[in-house]
Amino acid sequence: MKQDYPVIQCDVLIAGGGSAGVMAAIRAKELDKDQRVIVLEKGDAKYSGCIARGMDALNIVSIPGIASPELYVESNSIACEGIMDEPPNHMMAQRSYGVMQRLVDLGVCFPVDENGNYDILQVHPKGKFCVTMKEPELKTILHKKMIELGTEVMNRTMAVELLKNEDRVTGVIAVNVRTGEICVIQAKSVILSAGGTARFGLPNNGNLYGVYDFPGNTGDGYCMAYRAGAELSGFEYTLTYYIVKDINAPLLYITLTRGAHLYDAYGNRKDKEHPSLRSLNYEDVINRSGPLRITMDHLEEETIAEIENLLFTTERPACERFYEGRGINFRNPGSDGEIELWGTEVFLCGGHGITGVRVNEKAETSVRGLYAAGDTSLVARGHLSGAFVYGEISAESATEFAHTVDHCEVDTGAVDRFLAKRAARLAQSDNPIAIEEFEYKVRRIINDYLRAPKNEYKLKRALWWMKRFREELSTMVYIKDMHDLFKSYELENIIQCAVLSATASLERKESRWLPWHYRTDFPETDNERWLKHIVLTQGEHPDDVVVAHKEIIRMAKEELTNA
Amino acid sequence: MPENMLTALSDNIVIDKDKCIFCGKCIDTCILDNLRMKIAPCTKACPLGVNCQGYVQLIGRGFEEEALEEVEKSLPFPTILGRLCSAPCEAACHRRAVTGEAVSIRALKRYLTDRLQDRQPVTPEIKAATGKRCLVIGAGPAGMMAAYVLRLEGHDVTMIDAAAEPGGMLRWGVPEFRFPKSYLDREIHRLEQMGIDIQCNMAVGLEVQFSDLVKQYDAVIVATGCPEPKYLGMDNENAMGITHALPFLIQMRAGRPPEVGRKVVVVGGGEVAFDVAQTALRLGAESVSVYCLETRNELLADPHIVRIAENEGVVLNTGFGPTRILVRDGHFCGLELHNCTRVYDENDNFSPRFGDIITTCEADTLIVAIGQTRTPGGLIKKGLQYNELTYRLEGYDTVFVAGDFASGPATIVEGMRSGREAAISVIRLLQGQHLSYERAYEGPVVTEYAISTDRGSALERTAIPVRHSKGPGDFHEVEQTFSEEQAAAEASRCYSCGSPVGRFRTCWFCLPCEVECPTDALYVQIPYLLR
Repeated sequence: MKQDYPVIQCDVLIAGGGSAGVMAAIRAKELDKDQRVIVLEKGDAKYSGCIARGMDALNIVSIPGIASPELYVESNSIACEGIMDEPPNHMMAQRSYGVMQRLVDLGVCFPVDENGNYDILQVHPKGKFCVTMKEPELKTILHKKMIELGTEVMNRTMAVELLKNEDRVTGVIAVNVRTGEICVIQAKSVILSAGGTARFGLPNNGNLYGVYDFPGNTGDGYCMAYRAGAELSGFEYTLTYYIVKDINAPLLYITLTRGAHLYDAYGNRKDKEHPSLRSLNYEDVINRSGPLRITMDHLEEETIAEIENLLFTTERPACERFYEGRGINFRNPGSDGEIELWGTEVFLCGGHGITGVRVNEKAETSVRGLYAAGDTSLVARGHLSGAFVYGEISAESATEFAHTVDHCEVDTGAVDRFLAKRAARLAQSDNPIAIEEFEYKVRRIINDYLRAPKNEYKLKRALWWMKRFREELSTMVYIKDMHDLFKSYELENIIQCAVLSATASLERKESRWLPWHYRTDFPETDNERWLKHIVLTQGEHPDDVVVAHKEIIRMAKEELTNA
Repeated sequence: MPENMLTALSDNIVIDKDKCIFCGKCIDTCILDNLRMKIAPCTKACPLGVNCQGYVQLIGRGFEEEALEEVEKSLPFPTILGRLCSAPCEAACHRRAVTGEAVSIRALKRYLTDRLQDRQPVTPEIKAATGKRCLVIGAGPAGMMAAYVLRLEGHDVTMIDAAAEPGGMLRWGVPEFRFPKSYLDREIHRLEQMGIDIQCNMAVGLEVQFSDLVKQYDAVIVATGCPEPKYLGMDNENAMGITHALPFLIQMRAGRPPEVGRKVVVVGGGEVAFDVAQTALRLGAESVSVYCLETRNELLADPHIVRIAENEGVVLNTGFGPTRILVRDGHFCGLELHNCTRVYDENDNFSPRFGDIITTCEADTLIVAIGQTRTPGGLIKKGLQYNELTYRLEGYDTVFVAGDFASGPATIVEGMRSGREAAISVIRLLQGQHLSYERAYEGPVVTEYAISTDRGSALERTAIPVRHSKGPGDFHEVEQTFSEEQAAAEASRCYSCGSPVGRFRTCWFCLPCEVECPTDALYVQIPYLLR
C-alpha cells in the first residue's frame, strides 16, 4: 500500500529548537531571508531546551581587554586535561563577545554596576570569562526573533533518522510525538542541535525526569549523527555534576563567588581551594569526604538577597519552592540554612562536558551537509556561549552549503523501512512491561555500570545489559499509544548512547578527568598513550561500534598568539 | 488510564478550578508534553470545539466579556448558534446524566451575545494578501464559516449563492420568530466588511458553469446544502392546499406570506415541523395539528421548542404516519393515517413499522415537513465521494465539499464545522501542505476520568424566558434572553467537569505552563520525590 505522509522541502533543517537551534535559525534567516528554514522541536520551541526560564550567566565570554580567546583555549585545555581541539574552541571564544553583544541588542539583561561594568566571575582555571546575566525571557526573546524572521517551527516533532544520498545528508524522517505520524523533510543541509543525553543515569531522587539537565535530551542528535556515519568523541566523559541534593539544580558559583562557605562532611572548609564541580565530585567519590555543604548565614543581608534574586528568578526559579518546602533560609545557621550538595546522575553533554559529534571550527561534521551545534556538538565545555556561537557558525556553513546543492529524491526505501519498524512497534501492545518501567531499569543499570568508578568488568556488564535491553525493547515493552511510541525512540537512543559510552570507556585504558573517567583497573593518567580522542563511528550496524584514536587538533603557536 | 511507574506518582500540577478557564494554554506550552486536558463532556461534544466549560464558568464568575471572547476563539458567529444550535453540548452535559437536566449552555451563549450586543465582535487580523482566489458556492452556515476562515488567511474569497440574498437555511429555512433576520444581516455585513465578495442570484449550472469555476479559481468549496424538499411520494401530493415546509418558509422570509386554510395539518417530527406549525398559527389558522411517527421521547425536535409550540396551541399527535392524501375537487381535504409501532430498527436505522389502527384527519391545508435533500444532478449524478477528513471531492484536486451538501441534512453547527474543515484543507492546499497530517488526532485530551459533582449548585434548570405569541400577525422572537441573575444561577449549576492534569508525570518544574496561564490558575509543586 502506498504510504501517505507529508514530504516537505527546505534549505536548512535544524533538528532541535533549544539555545543552539534558535540561534542557528536566526542566523540562517539573516544570511538569506529567502531560504526556507525549518526547526523540528520535540516540545514547544518557545521554551524548550535548557533555558526555559533563562540563565544566570553567559559562562564564556572573552571580553576584549579582560580575557583573551587565547587565554580561554589555554584555560579550557587545562579543564579538559588536554582532550580538546583548539581551533573550534578558539573560534568560540573569539566570537563570544559578538554573541553577547547580539543578545544585548535583542534586549537581554546583563546587569552592570554603577560604572557600567558587567559582573564577571572566574570559574575557569585561568581568566575571568563568566558574565552574569539576569534574563528569564532569554528563550522567548530568541524565539520571537526567530519567528519574526520567517523560520518555520514544527513543534511536537522529533527528528529520528537522517536521510542520505551517497555521502551526503539529504533530509530527516521525523515523528509527531502526539499523533505518531511521520513526516519527511528534504533538506539541502541539516544542523543537529538536539542536546546531549540528559536522561541517561537514574537520578538519586528516583524520578526519571528529576535530572539536572533538560530531560527532553535523550541523545537524539548523537544517535542520528552516528547512524549517518559521523564521528563522535568523548563518550567516556561520563559526567556527574555536584549540585543541590534532591532538586538536582545548580547554585555553586552564584554562592561561592559571593563569599559562601563550603564544608565537607567533617566540617573542613573547602571554598578556599577554588573548588570546581569536578573537584567537589573528587572530594566525594575519591576522598570520600562528602557530602559537601554550602552555608551563607555569615553573609550580609544584601549579599544573600542578591543570591536569592539570581537563584529564584532565572534558570530554575522553582528552587525557591524547594527551599521553602525544606524550611531552608540561607540566613539561618546550621542545617536549616545550609545546602547539601550531592553528585548527580551520570549524563553525556557537549556543553557541560566533552561528549559530542566532532566538528571543526566551521561546525562541519565528518558527513557532507551535516552540521552540529550546542550540546550535540563537541565544542568542549562550551556551555551556553558554545551553543549560541556554534548555532551561528553552523547556520553560516549550512547556508553556504545549501546554496551549492540541490534536493535529492527521497530515499523511499529508507522511509518504508522506517514505517515497517514503526508498525512493528505499534504491534507490540500485548507485551508485559510499560516503557517507563523499562526506562527506569535501563537508566538504573546505566548508573550502576557507566558511572565512575569504572573497570573492565563493569563496562562489559554494561554492554551485556544494553544488548539485552535492545532486544527487550521489542520483546518485553508494550507500545499501546503514540506516547509510548515516541518514548520508544527516545529509549532506543538512550541505549545506543550507553553502548557508545561503554565502548569508549573500555577503550580509554587510563583514568582522566577524575572522577568522571576513573578506571579502578587503570587508575593513573597516561598522557603519553592517551592524550588523544577516542573516536567512534558506526560499522555495519548500530551495535558494531568502530573505535579509532585521533590526535588532538592544535593551532600553530603563531595563530594562538597573533589571532 | 492505565498506570505505570511514572503515572502512579502523585501529580505535582495544581489547578485552581475557581480560576482555570480550561483554555488549554498550559498544555500547548508544556515542553515535556506532560499535560493533558481532561476534557469536559460539553466541550468534547461540540463539533466546533467551543470551550463550553470555560465560558459557562466565566459567566458564573461574572467575567462576561472574557466568556464571549472564549466562545469567539472557535465560533465567529455566536449570535447565530446562541439561538439555533442543536446544542450537542447539552446532550453530553454530565449534569444531564446525573440529574436529567443539562446546564442551559446554548442559552448562556445567547445571553452573552445579547448582553454584549454593542461590543464589536473580535475578528482576528486578516493575514497579508496571498493573491490566491477561492470560491465558496453556497452562502449558508457552512459557506459562511468557510469564507470567514479562508479570508482570515489572506485569500481573496468570493461566495456565490443561487438565492436573492445570502444566508442559506439561516435566512430561508427558519422563521423570523425563531431567528430574526437582522442578526443574520449583521453577520453577512461583517463578512462583507472583511472583504468577502458575496454575489447572489448566481446558480451554478444556470448563470455559471461548474467546470468554468473550477478553472477560474485556485480552490472551490461546494456548500449548496439540501434545498429540495422531501416528498411523501403519495398520490395527490401536488393537489391545491398542499405545500412543503421549505417553500412555505421561503415565502415567509421573502415577504410573500402564503395563504393557509382554517384547519392546517403538518406531517413531520423535526423542529421544522413545529416552525411551520407555529407559522401557520401566526398566519391565522384556527387549528394546527402536527402528526409524526415518533413517540414523544423519540422526537427529534428540542422538547423546549415542542413545549412552546404546544403552548401556542399546536396539537401534537405522535405515533402516526400518513397512508393517503384525501382530495375533494382537486383540493386537499384530509389525511388518512395509521399508527406507527416502530420508527427505528435495532441499529437505529429509520425503518418504520405500522399497525392497523387507521384514523382520518380533516383539514384544508397540508404542510409536509419531512426533511430536505440535495438538488439532483450536477456533481450528485456521479455519486458524491469525498474524503471524510479533508472534505476533498474525489476526482478533483481543488474542489472540496461542506455542510449539508456533503453530509446530507444535518445541524447548523455540523455545517459550520465541515465548512471550517474544508477551508483548512484549502489553506493547506494553497500553501503546499499535506492535507490530512495531524487532523485525525483528537487533541491532547483525556476523555475517561471520574467527574466530581461537588461544584454544581443544587438549583434546577432555569427556564428560558419566552415571549408568548399575541396571536396571528405576531412574528416577534419567541425565545428571550436570561437576566443577569438567571444567567448566574444557570451557570452555577455547572459541575465544571474538566481540568488540565499532569498526565504523564514528566514535569521538570521549568514553569512555562505557569507563566503562560492567563488566569494564574496553575501552580507547579516540586514533585514529592524531590521535595
